[in-house]
Amino acid sequence: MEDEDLQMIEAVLQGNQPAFQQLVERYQHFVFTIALRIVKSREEAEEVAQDVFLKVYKTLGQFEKKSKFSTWLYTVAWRTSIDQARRKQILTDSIDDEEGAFWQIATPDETPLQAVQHSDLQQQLQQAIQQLRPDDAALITLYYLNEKSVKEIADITGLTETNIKTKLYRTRELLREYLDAQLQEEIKDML
Amino acid sequence: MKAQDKQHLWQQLDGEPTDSGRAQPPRRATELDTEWKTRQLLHHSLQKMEAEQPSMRFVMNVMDRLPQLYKKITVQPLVHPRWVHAFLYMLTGAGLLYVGVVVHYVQTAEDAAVNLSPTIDWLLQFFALLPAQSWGMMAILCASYLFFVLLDRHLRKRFSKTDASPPKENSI
Repeated sequence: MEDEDLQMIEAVLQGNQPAFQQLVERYQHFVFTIALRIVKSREEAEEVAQDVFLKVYKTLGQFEKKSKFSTWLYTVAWRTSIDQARRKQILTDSIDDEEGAFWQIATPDETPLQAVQHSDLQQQLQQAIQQLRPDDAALITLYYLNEKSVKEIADITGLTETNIKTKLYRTRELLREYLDAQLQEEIKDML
Repeated sequence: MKAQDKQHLWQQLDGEPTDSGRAQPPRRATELDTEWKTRQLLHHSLQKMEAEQPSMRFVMNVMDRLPQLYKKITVQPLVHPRWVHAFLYMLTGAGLLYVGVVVHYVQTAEDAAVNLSPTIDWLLQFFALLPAQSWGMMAILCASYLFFVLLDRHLRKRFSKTDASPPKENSI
């Protein structure tokens, strides 16, 4: 994947603009998700994600290939989204203040009914993540969705590895507490 | 449950103590424990989480906004390759002719009856008319020509690879 990225970058630098479209198609979902986790609005996330790709395109000649292209791209996405969030002063409530949401649980050997419940669980999880602090939501996304290591996340965010591990631990505990609080009896039945 | 134990459970799920990778956390005795199973469920759900979808026109919107920054450099050789080939053939031909004359001269000189053919005789006379300086001039011109041809090829290769020097990637 990295080799293909580098080939496409070379092609773009040689004036083959359509090659950049392939890069956009490949990474649009991840960049958009990171932006959405931070700015919390789909419209704004779309604007931010577009700006990210524009910035990357304009500075593509500066990419030194010392790190993965995806790491460099997510660094731009992180910084652009954080800047936008600061500009708009996005404030979010912690999920433990949220009421009315509920979680449904599915076990690995799930029945069709449980599968439906599981898809609900995914939706509930998405909603819960949306209610997290922007940086915590983005960290969870980078760690799980983009499957970045703690070291790579440190490179992207500029935080220390210890700080990231602590934040990941706290965020996941927060999500778990939310899960416990919302499900109560249901979770006991499922487990 | 102590915070340290909770942290340990997450480390187990991340696969940190066993180096077996976070995709397959090790099974352990506490697996039946509700605390473990709740975290395991959350961990798996987060792993299965799907990316958000931007609008259908996202890619087109990005491409529409791109400025034309990187232009293809059209590199043309200073000398047409046909002339380069012609020159190389001529040079090879002249070299072979020279060697042929020398070999023929040596063979015929060894013979008692030295009888050079009229053509070779004429060639030798023609070459004898040219002073040494003229040969030197021609050699310099040929060498210069070859140098510029090679330089042209080298520069053409180099500039067709990249048109933008990559400075630093941390400047964003």
